[in-house]
Amino acid sequence: MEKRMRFWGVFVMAMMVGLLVGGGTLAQEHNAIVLGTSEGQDNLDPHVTTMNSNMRHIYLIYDGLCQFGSDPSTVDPMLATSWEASDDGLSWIFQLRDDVYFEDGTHFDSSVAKFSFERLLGIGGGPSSPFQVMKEILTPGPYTLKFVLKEPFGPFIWTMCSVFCRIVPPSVMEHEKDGDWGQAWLADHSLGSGPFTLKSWEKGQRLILEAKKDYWGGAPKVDEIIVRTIMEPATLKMELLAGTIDIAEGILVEDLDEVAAAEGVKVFKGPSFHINYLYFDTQKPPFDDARVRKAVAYAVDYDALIEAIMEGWAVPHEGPVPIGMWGRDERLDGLYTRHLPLAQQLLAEAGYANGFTTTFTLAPIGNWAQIATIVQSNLADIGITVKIEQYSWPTYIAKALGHEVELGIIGITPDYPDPDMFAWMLCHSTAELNLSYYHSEEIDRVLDEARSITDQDERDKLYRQFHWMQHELVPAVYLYQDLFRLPMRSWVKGYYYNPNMQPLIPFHAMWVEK
Amino acid sequence: MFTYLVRRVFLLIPVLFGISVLAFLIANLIPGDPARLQAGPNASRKVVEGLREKLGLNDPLYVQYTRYLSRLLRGDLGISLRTKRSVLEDLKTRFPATFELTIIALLFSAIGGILIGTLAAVKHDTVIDHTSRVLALAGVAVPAFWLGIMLQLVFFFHLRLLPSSGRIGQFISSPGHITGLYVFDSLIAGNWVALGSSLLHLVMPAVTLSLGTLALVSRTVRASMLDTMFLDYVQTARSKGLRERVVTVKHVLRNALVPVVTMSGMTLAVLLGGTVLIETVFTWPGMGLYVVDSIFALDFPAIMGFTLLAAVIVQTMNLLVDVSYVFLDPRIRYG
Repeated sequence: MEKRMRFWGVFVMAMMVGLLVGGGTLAQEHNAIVLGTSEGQDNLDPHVTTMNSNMRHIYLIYDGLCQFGSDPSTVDPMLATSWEASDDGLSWIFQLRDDVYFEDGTHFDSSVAKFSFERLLGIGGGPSSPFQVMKEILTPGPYTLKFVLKEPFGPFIWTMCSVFCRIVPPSVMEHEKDGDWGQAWLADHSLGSGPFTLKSWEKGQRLILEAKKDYWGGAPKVDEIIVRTIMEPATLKMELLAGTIDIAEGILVEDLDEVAAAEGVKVFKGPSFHINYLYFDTQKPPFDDARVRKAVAYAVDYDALIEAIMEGWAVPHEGPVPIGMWGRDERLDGLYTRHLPLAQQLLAEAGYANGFTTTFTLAPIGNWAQIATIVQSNLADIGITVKIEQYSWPTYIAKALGHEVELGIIGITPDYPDPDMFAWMLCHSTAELNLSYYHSEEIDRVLDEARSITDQDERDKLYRQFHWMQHELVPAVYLYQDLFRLPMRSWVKGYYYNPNMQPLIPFHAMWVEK
Repeated sequence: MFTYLVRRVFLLIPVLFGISVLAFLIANLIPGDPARLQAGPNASRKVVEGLREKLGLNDPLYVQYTRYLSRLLRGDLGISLRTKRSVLEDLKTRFPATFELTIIALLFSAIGGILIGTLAAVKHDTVIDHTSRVLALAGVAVPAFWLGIMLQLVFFFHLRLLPSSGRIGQFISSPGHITGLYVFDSLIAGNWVALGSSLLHLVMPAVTLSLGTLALVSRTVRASMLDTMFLDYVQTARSKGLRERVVTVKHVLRNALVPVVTMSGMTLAVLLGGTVLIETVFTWPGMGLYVVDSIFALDFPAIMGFTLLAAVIVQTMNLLVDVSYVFLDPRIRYG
């Protein structure tokens, strides 16, 4: 009996110490940055995933040939020291670094880079899309890599900064299973040459990246990055305000002012390349008539959307190319504002003086439902009755790509920061994301030409020309461009932002100063 | 008894087969293209078509199902379209978290429900009884996600007593993987820090998850006890001079527990279903979160794997419930 009592006494004492320590009362100081994010991670293979929440970590684990620096208009070297395109734009030669090693000791050279691109194309997943233009990958020298393209591709150098083509060494094939290029293994392991390596990953909960003290680009200032998944935005806010996390990604727009006003918290604000727009089925009445589409553009209350839904954390813009990127004419911004008499006149000219009924299809994403309600009310003012239908994302995107949406909404961020990414993808008749099914031979011609040359000044002129053309033809109505916001504790230092790398956080340059 | 058990286990086979057909059909009826979702909306048609071919999505549905079934019979649940890992491995990683949370919540529901129900029955028509009725009503009526956030606001944000989310403190290493149950593993490893942290992390999600079922259990116990309390054999026990506590516990409660045990099978199913919501509020990295992400990605192998596992769990629980009757009620015999 006495023995049993003693056992329970020790047990209870141990539990109490455990609870005390586990509760954080005795928590030690760690040289780490804790990121809380509402988006979970599920795959760390750069050649497989297209999700922003995964790319954030891939960006820190793997290096690419080129990278974005703090200047959004330039491409900075990374594993490549320099590059050159042939006059016809069909071949690109990259000179590579000779002092880079991967975490398993593999030495980086042109054969490693060649393998990595072959793997990207061999897997053939979403990330390979911008690179389908490659015809041949050659290694003229140990540190010289040459790409031969099927056709000239103006945005090529920008695609090289994408996380999609980060370099994975051939040693990944040691883990290959059933011809999967090592996908199953690399999904939750790291094999990069970047500043961090994967230390541990409790899926759905916590991912820890450990700094490489011998990183070729200089050791990061912190020892670890702890990424905590916190699904519930209300919890995320509490954690940031309580100071238990350093950076919070996924705070709701309506909470941003409160968070920004809190002591010890700052909200970084910058331009973003995320745009939100309405698209139409331009192949069927009534939206096959540009006057009807223009009437919608003049009926939408953009200021109400920005104030009521985004609480001022957005700006109006016109055209698919976002503000801050070259290849657009700023004079067009704000030309479509709410002007009901003009909208009604356009509708009457198109033969819809008494309005019509249409269906607004959407998915339960972000604030789309609120936007739909405001648009519904705006269009009612010019006699257009809008029925709202909501589907889950898989069903919605299948309908949108399957030509089954009369009036819909979508938001996009760039895979690579070039006007081509937005203009071609959204308005070229052969592009997948041309959800309006808009077909203009003139627009196609201009976009094809802009894609086929590498001279940026020439391309800039063509995209400006396209910008005016689409303004008249209204294949879509651009609602607003988000402002990027990242709430963090004031003790976080070294953060810099470039809209080209919006979901990415440069942890390698950051530290905490408490 | 043994023959009965064998028969019940064999009956699981057609049940699971039926569920697999149903789940496969439902998952495939959802409009959407898993290849497109995986490749991303910006991906070119060629890339999407290539992926569809690789994933075997161009084959007729019956071919896809036969392929799935033949793999299943070899114990292979397939590869997740989203995570690219084996679904079995994914479930093995996620299952312990859900199991730990569900068991603790089940304990909370059972112990709390029996205690409150007994007290309400013994003190029926008093303030205690009425209070328990109001609490039970609130337990069923209050939305779990709201309660979860309120608990976080009070116990994490204001009082700083409990952690807001996750299974373990952000700077604390997880206990080595033995069973995947953090409480059990840290106990075995003697890792008191991990034990304390995982216990603290369990409190709010388990309370939130258990509240609805706790209310149901307490009302069932109360009603069942009131039915039993005035039966002749209980009066006999009292007239023999037994103490009231002995009469209540040994004669009333034990007989009143049969419907509660019957309920516990269903309770487990309700709790498992509830984890989907609770795991989101408390970012509890279990199967609930996994299946929600899988549904949004139309990840058929993962959805199927989860459905089959959930079916096995519920069926097993029902079997255990049936077996437990023998011990609770000596009149019940299985041949």
